[in-house]
Amino acid sequence: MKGKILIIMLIILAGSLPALAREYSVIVNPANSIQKLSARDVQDIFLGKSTAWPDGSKIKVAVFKKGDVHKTFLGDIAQLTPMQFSVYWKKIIFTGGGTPIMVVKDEAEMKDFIKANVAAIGYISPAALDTGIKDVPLE
Amino acid sequence: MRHKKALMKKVLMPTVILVLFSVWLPAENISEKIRLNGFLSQGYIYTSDNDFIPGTSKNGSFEMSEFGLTFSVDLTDQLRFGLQFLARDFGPIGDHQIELDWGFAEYRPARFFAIRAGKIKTPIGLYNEFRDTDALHPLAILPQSIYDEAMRGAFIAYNGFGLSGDFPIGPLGTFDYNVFTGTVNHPEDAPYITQIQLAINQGLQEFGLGISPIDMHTELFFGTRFIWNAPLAGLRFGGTYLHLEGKYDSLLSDPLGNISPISGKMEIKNGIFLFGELALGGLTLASEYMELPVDIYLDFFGQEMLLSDEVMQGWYVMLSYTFGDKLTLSALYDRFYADKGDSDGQGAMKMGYPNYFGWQKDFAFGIRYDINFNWTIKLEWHAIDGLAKSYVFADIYDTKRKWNMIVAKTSFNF
Repeated sequence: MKGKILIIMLIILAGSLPALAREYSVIVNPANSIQKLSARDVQDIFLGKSTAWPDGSKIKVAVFKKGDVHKTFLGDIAQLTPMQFSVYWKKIIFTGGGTPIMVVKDEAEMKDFIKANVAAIGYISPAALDTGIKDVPLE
Repeated sequence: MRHKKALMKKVLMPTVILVLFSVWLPAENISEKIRLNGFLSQGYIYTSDNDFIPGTSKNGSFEMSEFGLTFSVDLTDQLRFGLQFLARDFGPIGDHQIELDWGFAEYRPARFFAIRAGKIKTPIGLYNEFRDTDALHPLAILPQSIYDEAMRGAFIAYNGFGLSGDFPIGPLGTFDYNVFTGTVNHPEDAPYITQIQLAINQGLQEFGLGISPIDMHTELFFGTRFIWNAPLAGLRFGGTYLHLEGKYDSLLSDPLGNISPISGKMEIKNGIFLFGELALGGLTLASEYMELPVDIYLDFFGQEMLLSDEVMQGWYVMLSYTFGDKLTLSALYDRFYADKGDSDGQGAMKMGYPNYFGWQKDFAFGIRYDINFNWTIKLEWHAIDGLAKSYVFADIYDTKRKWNMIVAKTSFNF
């Protein structure tokens, strides 16, 4: 009996793990045809290595300057702290290696930017998702 | 009075601008279309026995600052344009004159291929392209074996074309490349230009001849840089190959007072820079190695004379650790020889200098504190043996083999 209870608890726990791990959602404009992205794709986009969507349009990246979502997202996708990420992009900017990414101050501004730009990509906390933006599953 | 005005210009003005920027421009987003970024830094340098900044640092000097403004715009999905203005002060060099640091258009139809045209930063090693942006490297004084202040003018940027890109190589990571060609502007006040003039005059001394300051122009310049980004995040290795040929004109004077035009050439063939970097969490371990063969010729009444054929050699190891995103401690060991294999300075002695003009070894320790994303302060100490990197500025009778350097610097960027 105890063994069955343990198994049931493990199943429940296992089912809840993705939700626990999901501290951010990668978001794009609903008109963007992209259906899913790999973690490597997301890393390449936010580090400025991939600059175009499959249709050739230029990717418009938006990030937060600070905050827990920002910290978790960068740690997961690029293994960088917010300070390291900031320095990484400044190296690109001050050498002409690329156009600066958009820095937004909060989730409302992030969502406004995504809604206004078909080629935009960003991230927010799952709780902030709404109907005007598309949550892109990560492989 | 004059001194006060000079101090005002050198120190107070940059400081006022720095404070104004920190108050009024805390955000990066000026507009979604045209992006404006910038940086400003002000340093103080004190050296114990020899000058590092020409003619000033031995008494303590504030003549160490940079100010840059960067504009970027996406013209189409594949075409963008950007430029950066830079004003710097390094003793008698720069003097806050605004110049175009880089400015080019880039067409990038694919990740693995982009073409640039304009004035472009020369991709050498780990730090060359952003050597003037203080916040982007751990120490205020970069390892002089590779990032020699005297040679800065030759290697900072070129006018021409560049190809670049990166592509995945499966489980082996990614591969970045740059290929470039064009011309280099040789500033008349660049220390290496004075060094070349000195080397020529050393060669002509025995004939009682001498030349006036030289006017150098590029005949041929090309190179490539490649970087292998290993599968382990933060680990990369790479190399830069350089070829630079320049021709110079000058005036030759003889003991009778006759003056006649004279010319010659400088060649850097097979210049090699190799580097590796491991950035893992708060730890950064970086190392670079350089060999730069520099040949100087003089066209002496129809005959080509080889005046100098030294192979500059340098390497360094730098270890940095960042505690909690704010505080970074760095240690550096840097070594340079004016001529590869001449570890006891025989070449320098032949030219009449003390033997320690043949090498320079620097052990440095630095503290960096990032007050926030935009504001950085640094304090560092260098214990230096030798004077191979500064001889052009030095009065050889007033130098010492072992000397110290203390640098404090603050920088703001947005």
